[in-house]
Amino acid sequence: MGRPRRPFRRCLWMWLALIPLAPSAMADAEQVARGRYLLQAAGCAGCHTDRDNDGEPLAGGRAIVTPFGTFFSPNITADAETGIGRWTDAQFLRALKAGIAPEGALYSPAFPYTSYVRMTREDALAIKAYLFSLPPVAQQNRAHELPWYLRWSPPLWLWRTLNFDAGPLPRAGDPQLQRGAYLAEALAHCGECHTPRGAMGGILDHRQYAGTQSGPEGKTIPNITPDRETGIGRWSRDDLVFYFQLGLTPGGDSAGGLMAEVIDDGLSRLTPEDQHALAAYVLSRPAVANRLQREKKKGSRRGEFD
Amino acid sequence: MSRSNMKSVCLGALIGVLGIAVTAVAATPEDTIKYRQAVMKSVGGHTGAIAQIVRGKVDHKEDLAYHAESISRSLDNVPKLFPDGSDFGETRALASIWEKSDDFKQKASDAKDAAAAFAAAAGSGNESEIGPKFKTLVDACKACHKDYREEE
Repeated sequence: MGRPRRPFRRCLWMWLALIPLAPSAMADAEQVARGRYLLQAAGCAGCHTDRDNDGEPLAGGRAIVTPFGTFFSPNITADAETGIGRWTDAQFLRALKAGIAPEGALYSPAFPYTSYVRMTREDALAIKAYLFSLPPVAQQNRAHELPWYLRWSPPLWLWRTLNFDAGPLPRAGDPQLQRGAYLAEALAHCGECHTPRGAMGGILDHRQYAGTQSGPEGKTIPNITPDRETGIGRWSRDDLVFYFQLGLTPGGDSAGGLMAEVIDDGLSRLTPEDQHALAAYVLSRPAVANRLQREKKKGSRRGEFD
Repeated sequence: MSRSNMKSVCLGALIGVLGIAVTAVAATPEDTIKYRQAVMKSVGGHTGAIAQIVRGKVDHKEDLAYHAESISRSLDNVPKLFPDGSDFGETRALASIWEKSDDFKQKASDAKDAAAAFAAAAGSGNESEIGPKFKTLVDACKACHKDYREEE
């Protein structure tokens, strides 16, 4: 009686063995795909790729010139020796969302953990899953070039104490604005460049997105508040979405420099829903009048003129 | 002043003006920069106008080919707009233009090709080509501005 059943039973066991695997493999693939999307939205590859020297993606080494010295971004590929291949989930979360390296050292404010702290745990771990799905790249990290008083950790802890707010995002009533706020404040970290900083290097919340003359790499960063005269108050939401997609302003100018990178590698790859949410959020911020002028004259590199 | 005298004075003045155009010009760096900025601004103006048309915000399809052709003409020889010595003063041109001149020339040539392809699409009125070719052109603008123009 048992005989005819046996093949069925064998089959059943085989199926049972497969059941737990299939959905989890699918969940993994989904998590990796989501991580890829989030990594683009969060702009990780921008700083962590040395594009000027054709560096491997995410292997670090890009020089980030700040008023405090030159930082070299670290390797965030899954290489066990030179990258983050040995990091646990807890270590990754602590690094990304609290700015603390596995061995306990504090990262410099050039790394925007002050924004990433608002990222959900699930999103942060999806980014980790994506990073770990890529081929590891062996590339030693390069030491930062900093003045002596910043090679020492107390100033960094002081800075963190003054400027690190681990609070979550404020809740907006509108789900689209809530999504836009998450994209802008937790992922794309717009404010890290577009919001001016105070004397202690902290972001001035009441001047959100008002632009600054001393942005990263010493650049002038435009005012993106909806002020009509000095910001982007004349832009419609459609104009801003079009800018995220193509990098073209309503006046016909193309994005350049760091913003062109942000668009090419991040904002242009967002879904149209996310692009609209981000645009809606940016244009919902208070208008701040702040006219920025580029340093007009620059000397010749050959010293011919003044 | 007699009438004939007046005529010769006028003629002299006219030749003086024309003389600038027919003899070789030794442009000062300042003048080169002013010209370059005017050309780039006009390219931006046409690009902004095209964007309004292709996004369907305005009904000016009949002007698309004109705008496209103007851009194509202006981008015909971009490196000529950046002669040696025009890298200082009131310019956002970065020194890397002259330091990595092979790459700069390559990107300028990509922009020229993209502009020509877009002008061809706009001229033929082939609607399915116009959008993608416009995107390629804007990407070419952006690729050059990414590395060679100072941020504002």
